[in-house]
Amino acid sequence: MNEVIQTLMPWLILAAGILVTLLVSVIRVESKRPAQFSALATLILTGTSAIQTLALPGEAVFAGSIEISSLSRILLALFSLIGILFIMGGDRYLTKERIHLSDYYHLLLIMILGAGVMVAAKDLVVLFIALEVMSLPAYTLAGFRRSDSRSNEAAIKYFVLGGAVGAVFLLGAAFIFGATGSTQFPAIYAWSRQPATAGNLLFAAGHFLVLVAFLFKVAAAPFHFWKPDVYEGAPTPVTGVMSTLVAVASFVTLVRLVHLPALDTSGWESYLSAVKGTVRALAVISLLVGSLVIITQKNLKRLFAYSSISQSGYLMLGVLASLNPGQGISQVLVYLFGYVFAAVGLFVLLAQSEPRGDTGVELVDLTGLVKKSPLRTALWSVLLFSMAGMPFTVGFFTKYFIFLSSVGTGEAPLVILAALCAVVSAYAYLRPIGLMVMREADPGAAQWSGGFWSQFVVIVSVILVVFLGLMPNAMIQYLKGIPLIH
Amino acid sequence: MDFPVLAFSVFSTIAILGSLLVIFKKNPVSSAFALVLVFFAFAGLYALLGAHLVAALQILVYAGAIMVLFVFVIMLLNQDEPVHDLEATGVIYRVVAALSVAALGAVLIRAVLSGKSPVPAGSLTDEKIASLGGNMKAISEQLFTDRIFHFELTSFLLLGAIVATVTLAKRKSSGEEGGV
Repeated sequence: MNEVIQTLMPWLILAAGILVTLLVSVIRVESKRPAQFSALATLILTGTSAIQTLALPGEAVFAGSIEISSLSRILLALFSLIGILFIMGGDRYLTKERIHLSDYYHLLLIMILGAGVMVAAKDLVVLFIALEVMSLPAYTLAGFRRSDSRSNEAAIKYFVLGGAVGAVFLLGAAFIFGATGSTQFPAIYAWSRQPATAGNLLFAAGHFLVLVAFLFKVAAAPFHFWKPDVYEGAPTPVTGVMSTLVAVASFVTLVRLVHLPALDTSGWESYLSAVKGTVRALAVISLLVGSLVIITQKNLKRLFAYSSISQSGYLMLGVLASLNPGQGISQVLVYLFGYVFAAVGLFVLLAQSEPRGDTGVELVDLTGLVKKSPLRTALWSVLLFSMAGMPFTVGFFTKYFIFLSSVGTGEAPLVILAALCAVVSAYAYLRPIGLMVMREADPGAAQWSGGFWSQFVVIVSVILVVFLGLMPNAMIQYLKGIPLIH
Repeated sequence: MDFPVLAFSVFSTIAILGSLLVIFKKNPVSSAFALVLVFFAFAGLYALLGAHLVAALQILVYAGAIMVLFVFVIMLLNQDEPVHDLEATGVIYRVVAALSVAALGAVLIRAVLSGKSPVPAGSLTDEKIASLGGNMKAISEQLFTDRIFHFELTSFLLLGAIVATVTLAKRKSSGEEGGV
């Protein structure tokens, strides 16, 4: 029992922290500080504990329900970091919007716990429960501005579609269980390697439904229709958390689920080519939708929603590459890490604006920013450069790395398309910089005010983006050594 | 036809017909009661599979508790006119939905007909359950040994649901816009 507790320590700290945070928030009901500090302390302890145990070997606990490995530990540490940065950076926004409540921190912590368990799950049932633990707070947080009808719309859309997709996942999981007789990943993997079971149609149907559920969660086109509305309606720090934490957790789970059966064994060839074809088609559609529609967007949150749809397209290239023999998932992980570091800064910057009127932050709010705040303009520029994939930022290397792995597996035409899409969407990322620098401030442009901690978070994010852009090798080498959980 | 096959046919026919009624009835209360029918049919199917505890829970929890909630919500909303009329759905949506369902159905029928889907025996055989002392004991033992993690994670799901509900439903505090 002691070993189990030791292995699970980071998760247990997080779970205990949730309960403590719930309790301390009633010390002074009208103040949210106790909950905020308790949440920060919980996440710092969780992250530290996860990093400390990083080098320990992977271990499956609770009869193989979850596996605590270097993959799940590093992701839990990343989730804790995302939580810390958004708690520090979102403080002023929440106060400004008059939604700074203790509940925000409870929901955020529960969401992180769900994401942290989801990436460690080794059992379809645990995976489903963890998915719901992550999603329920996400739905609620999307509707956290209760007096704003767009926020309510975001919550309802996200909830109804998310619930339906949860049902799709369950249906698929039931088919998989019916075909294999087990819900545990290693047993399903072993089952799929037997010659007698290869190409089983019931399993293929279930597997496909399970994948559809997660394709919805990562908003790969054509499963993306909810994303712009939800991004726009949710409070900005929540949009940031959804775009980083939920996206990373869902994508890593998607990759693990793609590799649930041993598709490289003989007998699965036709299903493997079907999966590959689907992933390829989704990559193309996501890239086209993301890069073409993003140009027309005026609202910055919608712009970032389409940006994340095209990121799903690039990531699909990584998934496709991983389906070839001898290929790992490091290109996907590297891309996700690089994306997260830039996205945290972008969304915290976005939360610093105080737009006039009720339309949210639009491109016009950026005009003439360089005169008002040169530092903020510089920060915006570096982060947008990284999103566009410019050299000397982390965004360049992550894209390069994913293209490299795709070319290596004979997907050159797809890479050419992706590179063209990157060029087209670069316009959407560079135009805001042009507006900031070249245009006089529009009289209706937003005020920008950050406060120390918010600015601190953005600067941390920019330093990470530039540092990893200049020296990506350490990160790439480390993530290359992380095996996929079977 | 022996008894299990006959019972299975009866219960599954009721379940399918009930499900269709749930969808096509315009009055929400009729839909809710058709759903009760489906729940009972499912309880029968579970009992046929030897899962007597699940069958009993199905009736207690679904037909009892959850149904009451449904009816309460319908009563509170007090909707005379149906909000969503199936016939108002666009043609494209209907065609796409029909095609997807047909494709899934075709795959499943082929999977069953191909005969390659024998359900593998789980670790809990009839003899094992009998030696453990019945369904309820077998389930409790699983729940508190191998599946303890599922159990504890579910409590966090419920905790999250409680916090979420309170957040959305409570009165606006003075710190919030439009506060009382």
